[in-house]
Amino acid sequence: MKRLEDIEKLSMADLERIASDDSIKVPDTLKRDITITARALEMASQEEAAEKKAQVSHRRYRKILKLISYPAAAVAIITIGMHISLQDSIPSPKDTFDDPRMAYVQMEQVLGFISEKMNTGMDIASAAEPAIDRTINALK
Amino acid sequence: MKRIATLVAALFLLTASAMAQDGKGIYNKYSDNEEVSAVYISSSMFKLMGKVPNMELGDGSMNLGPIIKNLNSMYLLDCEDPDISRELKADVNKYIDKYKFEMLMEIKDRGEVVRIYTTGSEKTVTQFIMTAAEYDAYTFICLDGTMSRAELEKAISKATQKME
Repeated sequence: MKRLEDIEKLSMADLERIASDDSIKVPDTLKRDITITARALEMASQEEAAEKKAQVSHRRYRKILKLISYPAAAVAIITIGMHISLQDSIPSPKDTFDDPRMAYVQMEQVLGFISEKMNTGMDIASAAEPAIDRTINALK
Repeated sequence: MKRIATLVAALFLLTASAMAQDGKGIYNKYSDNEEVSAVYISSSMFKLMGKVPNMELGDGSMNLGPIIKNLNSMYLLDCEDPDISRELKADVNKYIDKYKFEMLMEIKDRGEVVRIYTTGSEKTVTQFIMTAAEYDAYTFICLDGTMSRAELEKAISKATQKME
């Protein structure tokens, strides 16, 4: 088998002679091998390019991150501080009643009102129950 | 620097608006209005009330009395002015949407729409809200504290059984 250097040393006439020599058989898999090699080379170069691109964007990303990290930290600290101070600054309302018994009566009324409304809801629901049952039975 | 200042201002406004949208914030916003009746019972008052014997409420089958033991505060706003009612309703709805309250019950009766919402965990209700809306009136009741969800469900199912 000839080496690459030997082929390079051949003259054009020798090359033409070898090319026109029908006795030398071209391997059947040559075309396929060339295609595979070309594709592999193409893929390798694509991967290299992608890697380079990723490295560049990663470097850029780190740069941006470094640039914004200090202002972002400052904004976060200010926001947390403002949130805490705002929470403290919202005054707690003053109790409507000074006497717990009065508050108790009011609370009783409020809970009574809620209970009454819930009872109304359950009354309506239980009144509708026979109609719902009839519909379910009719659909069965 | 200008961008940072804008961001800080935006965050400030966001925080401020979020603060106005809780029970206390809503109460503070409307309680001084002449058209609004407002009642606030604080946690200290609830502690004092704890010494008072358990309350039995009305003759209906639903009794929320036992749940009162664990309440921290109560806000009530009642308004009959159509414009303020509309504004109050919008603020309450914003609050309910923001904190993902679950609707426990909705009652539509003679032009009045009553809605009951709760929020908290699987076992505990941390807030109980009731709203009652009529054409030009609106009532907002917010009960703050820890209530056992099981106790609340038990009270509802007991009431349902009584009706059957």
